Amino acid sequence: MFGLLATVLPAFSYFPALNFNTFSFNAWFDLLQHPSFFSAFKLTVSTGFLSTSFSILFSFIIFYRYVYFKPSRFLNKILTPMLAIPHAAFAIAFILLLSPSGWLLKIIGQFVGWVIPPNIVTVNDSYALSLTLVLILKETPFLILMMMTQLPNIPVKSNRLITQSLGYSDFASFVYIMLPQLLKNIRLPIYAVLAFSLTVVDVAQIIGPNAPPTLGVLIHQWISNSDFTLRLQAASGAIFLLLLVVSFIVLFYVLEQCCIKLILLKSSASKRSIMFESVFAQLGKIIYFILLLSILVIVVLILWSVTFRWGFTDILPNSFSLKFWQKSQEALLLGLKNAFIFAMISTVLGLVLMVGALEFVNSKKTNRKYLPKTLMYLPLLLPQVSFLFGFNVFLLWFDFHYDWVAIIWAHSLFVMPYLYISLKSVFEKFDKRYTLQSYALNRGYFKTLFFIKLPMLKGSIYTAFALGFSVSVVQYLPTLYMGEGRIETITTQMVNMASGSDYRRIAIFALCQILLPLIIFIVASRKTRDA
Amino acid sequence: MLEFKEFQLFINEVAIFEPISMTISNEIVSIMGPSGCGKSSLFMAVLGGLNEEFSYQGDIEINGESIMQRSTAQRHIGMMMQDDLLFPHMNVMQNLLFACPEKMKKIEKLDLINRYLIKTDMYEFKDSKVQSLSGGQKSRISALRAVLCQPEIVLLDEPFAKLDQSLKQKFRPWLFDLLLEKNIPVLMVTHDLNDCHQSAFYDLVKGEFSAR
Repeated sequence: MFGLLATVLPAFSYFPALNFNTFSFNAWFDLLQHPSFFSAFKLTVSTGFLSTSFSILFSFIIFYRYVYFKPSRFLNKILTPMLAIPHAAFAIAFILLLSPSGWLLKIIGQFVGWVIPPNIVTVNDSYALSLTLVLILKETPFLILMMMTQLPNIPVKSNRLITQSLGYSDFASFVYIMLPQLLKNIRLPIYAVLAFSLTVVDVAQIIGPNAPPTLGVLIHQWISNSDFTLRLQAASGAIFLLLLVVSFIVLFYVLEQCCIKLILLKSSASKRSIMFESVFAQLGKIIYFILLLSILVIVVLILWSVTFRWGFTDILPNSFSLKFWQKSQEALLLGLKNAFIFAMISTVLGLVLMVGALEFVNSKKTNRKYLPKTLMYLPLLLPQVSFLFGFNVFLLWFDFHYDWVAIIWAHSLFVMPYLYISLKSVFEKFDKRYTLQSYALNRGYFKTLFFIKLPMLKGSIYTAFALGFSVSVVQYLPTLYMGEGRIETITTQMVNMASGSDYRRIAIFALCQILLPLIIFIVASRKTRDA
Repeated sequence: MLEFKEFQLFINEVAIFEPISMTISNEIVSIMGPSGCGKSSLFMAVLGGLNEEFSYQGDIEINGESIMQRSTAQRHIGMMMQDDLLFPHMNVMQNLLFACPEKMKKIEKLDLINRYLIKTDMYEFKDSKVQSLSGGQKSRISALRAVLCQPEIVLLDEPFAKLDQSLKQKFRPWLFDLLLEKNIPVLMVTHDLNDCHQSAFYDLVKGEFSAR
């Protein structure tokens, strides 16, 4: 909130540190008159709306196919590894795959006889279609996972049997019964996807259009500019972006309500089947396309990281070398070390706070039986660029230069919502008879918590830790703004070198960004299995 | 008419119960047995909701036609389980409209539902959210939903299990009257002797009818 406040003041030209001591609308005029503003606005709106809408559509279709129509464990097995690939690394690998000189076009070139990269725009296109596609591919698995977390609250099997006994087809029963309940239950994750798609900076910098870029990137460029007066314009842009996110959340809420009303209206007509049912069941197989791309992403990064020479007409590299690993070694170790330290500390801090908060609301000391969900989701709903910029200004006013502390705080802020998603139902559903049994044996609260409850929940805590750790590792803007560009992690290094560096170096950094959380996920899943 | 012809269920090729042969005409027949004897599996077999690890011998027919190759949606069965399973995003009226046959006109549906609601003292709750209903009220709506779809048979799986004693005593005769009025076969799975409608029940362990 302080961060937002400190963004609002400069947005109205009040910025004492830069000698702007009177309120005015000049920053807003500058923003609206900027030659790139309206183009950036249009790109942002189209990217945010299309990527969120298609992510919702695909996630429902895939959920219908593999959870409702033909339940299989296939989804459970592939979702976590797919989600473990960070957005930025995915975007980089997407370029290595699909750019005119990318791997897939090299393979196509073999068949159509291209000898030089074709003159077509496949990435960084001016309509931001490649950015939209990357966002769809990354957000669809996230929404499916969020739907799956709702399964304990919705009796899928019984609902299906009841509706089938009433004569409804599978798809009709899914649309009439499951869809409205799911839509309502995953409302906040949908808003988080929407806010992310409208405001994302690192992915848009990598694969989005450059001239003009999206609004988030444009604001980020003004914040990073050596001309400090542009910060006023950046602040008004950040507030504008916030208002845009709020407007879109309202729009999606209205659309959701209209959708539910329409479904209820249609369901009252008791139509037992819906057109194109088999088409929707088949469309669910789109998950194989996302899975294939996720595998190709890893493969292309591995290939490029050990490539010495790779001509356009060759399907595989001509020669291999570890030279670029050796050359990058020093920077790589520094980035990995910092990322590891920030992730460890911020996740442990987040875990302590979240366990404390969940314990508090589940105790008798409060009448509130749940943490306000919207508050927990707030860091995911607000544009990072809006409140991190303000928080940076805030720290500047108070002459606070403990960058490490600020980075850890900012990382914890983004880690906590994911810890909340992972741990909420686990804590709520914990069988209280175990703690009562411990109290009856004359053990106090802390002994019961540390020797009974937490050890019993350690499997879920390991999983939550791995998730929190991976969220921290991929933070770009929080590290950049709080560290004022002086402290680097693997993510900031990778994003900064994405435009213009050697493919081989970029691939190495992207691969390491994937590997660090992946190792933690593997360790956590082993620990969870042992638990 | 619901007919079991030497019907036997197997799980991983192990028989769950002895072959059943019985005919249920327009009456309420209770199937009893201890936990794990296969009551719920038999219920699922009639409904068409068995998992892949089950196999069967014999046949089940409704009105002289085998239903084993039909999907659940094609079997025309009304069902009621111990959990009311009313759809939480729909109000009472919407839940009942959802159950009505597709071919009925809207005005006919509303007329039929309103008559049922008045008859069951539930008319004033027609626009209520299902979450706001009491346990007994939910059971009544769930029972209405089972008969509104104009089924050829009705299946009941422990329909009174979640009701307290006094509510059970009120709801049981109410439900039996409602079902008998429809003149269709009703198969009820239960483990409580008091729930049986007739003086005899089918004992799944012994494979024969026993007296209460």
